[in-house]
Amino acid sequence: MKKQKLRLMLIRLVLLTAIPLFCSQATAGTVKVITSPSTPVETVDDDLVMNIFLGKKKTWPNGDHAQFVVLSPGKTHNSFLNAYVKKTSSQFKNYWKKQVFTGKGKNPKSFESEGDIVAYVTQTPGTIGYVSADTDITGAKVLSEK
Amino acid sequence: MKNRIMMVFVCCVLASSGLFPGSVLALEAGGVDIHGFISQGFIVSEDYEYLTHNSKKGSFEYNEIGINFSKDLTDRLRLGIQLFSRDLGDVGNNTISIDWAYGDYRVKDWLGIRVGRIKLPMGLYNETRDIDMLRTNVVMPQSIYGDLLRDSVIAANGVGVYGNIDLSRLGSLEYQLVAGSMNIDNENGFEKYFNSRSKGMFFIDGTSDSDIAYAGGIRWNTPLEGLSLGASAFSNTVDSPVLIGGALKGENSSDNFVYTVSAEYLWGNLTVAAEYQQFEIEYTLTSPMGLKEGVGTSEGYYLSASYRFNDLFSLGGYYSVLYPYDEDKSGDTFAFASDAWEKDLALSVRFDINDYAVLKVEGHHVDGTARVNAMDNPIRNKDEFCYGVAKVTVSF
Repeated sequence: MKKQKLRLMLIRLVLLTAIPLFCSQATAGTVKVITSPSTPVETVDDDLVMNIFLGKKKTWPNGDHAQFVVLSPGKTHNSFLNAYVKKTSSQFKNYWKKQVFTGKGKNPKSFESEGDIVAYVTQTPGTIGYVSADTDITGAKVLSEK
Repeated sequence: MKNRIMMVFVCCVLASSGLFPGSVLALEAGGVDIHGFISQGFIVSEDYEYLTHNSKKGSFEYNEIGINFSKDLTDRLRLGIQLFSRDLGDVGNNTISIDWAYGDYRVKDWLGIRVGRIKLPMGLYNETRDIDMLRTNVVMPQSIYGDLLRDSVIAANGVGVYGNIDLSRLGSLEYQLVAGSMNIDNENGFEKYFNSRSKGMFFIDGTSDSDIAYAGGIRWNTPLEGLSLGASAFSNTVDSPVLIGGALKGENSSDNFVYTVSAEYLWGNLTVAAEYQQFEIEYTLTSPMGLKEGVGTSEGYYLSASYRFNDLFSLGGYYSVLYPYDEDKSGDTFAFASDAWEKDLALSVRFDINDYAVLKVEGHHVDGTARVNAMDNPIRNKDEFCYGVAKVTVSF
């Protein structure tokens, strides 16, 4: 009887431990793609955003240098990657590790807070970033929203 | 050089201990980005020594170490170098080499030029085969990415062009072309592979030399989200002095041609990949006894899948098949029939301890002895065997 109880307890313990292993990352929420007012574009399509954030495109349509910045992993970061780059956070991280360790690129410049990203983007012409829809983006230009 | 390795080690220990803040993924000194990794594995097998010469009793001689330095000199010009060493039993022995080192000038998004030591596009993962933390499995499918042949196909010193072409509604096309000379270090696996494949008839007896190698690859990112298709080809000629029958000196010249077709599909946290490869060797053996010519074609393919359940845990597996001589897949002409194939079923679990440290455990059931090295295993008596590996990788 005691052995059976012990077995049941062990099975429950294993199942409870395993639950977090099978929980996926949540991705929801609207994001705005922003840039500095002096960047020579008014709107962007999804492919352009994806190609810039994957380092495949390094220039704006007029030939000016395009730089991108990212947020640290979190809800807004996941929502942006899901909506525009078509990758999960871990796939995006792996993609850039691949670039770094084959010499093809450097890790994206990363910011902890959305306020910092707005400040950097507004002050750095040609830079593109993203924030959640409810972030104060005074001084920045919105290129796309999803 | 030892100091540099120590620096990587210290950085990796700091990284794994969480002493670096979350957003910092590189060291920077004077505008130069520094990244590194250390992968230390343990391999154990039953019945045969596999991959390493001492795996039956368990071996820690299974690691890869790398550190790179890079800098964007202008918006279009980039310069970088990566030092690398590996140990695979009696192969490599942590000799430090230049893995890649090149200047990269991006003229346009569809045209870039690289000059220096450039990694070769061959299949989906040749350029990243040493970077353990980029995948779920530990051992790459040996049907396509044979570990003893790594140095024969990894990089060339020369020039390359690359680019990304926007195909509008048809997706995009990435291409890479490389031409250059290759340094073939016999101690890094080539000699062991060659001697095993020649089955004791002749052995490499000196430095191998390669003519100009050519490699090219294209990858089509299709309009179907997450699906990419690729094709690549590689060609070179390797000349090696040989000793025939333990006494006669001769020379072997091998014209090698490899082509690979690939498919990869990313769907959420699921990654599925499949590749098929043919490796054709046309050889000429010159010796005082005369001239001997021949052609041998090997064929390999695999199907792999991995799923990332959450930030901590991923599960993966693959089924890999190799026929070293495609004209005899059942072993009728082999002294030991199962040398004619290798069918490897692998199952892997991966734990991402944090952003910098990964632990993986993997089990293999192998049917066939095509990749069981004859130098390490002169006696063959079993068709099937199992082996397991565990590996920890720390990177920053």
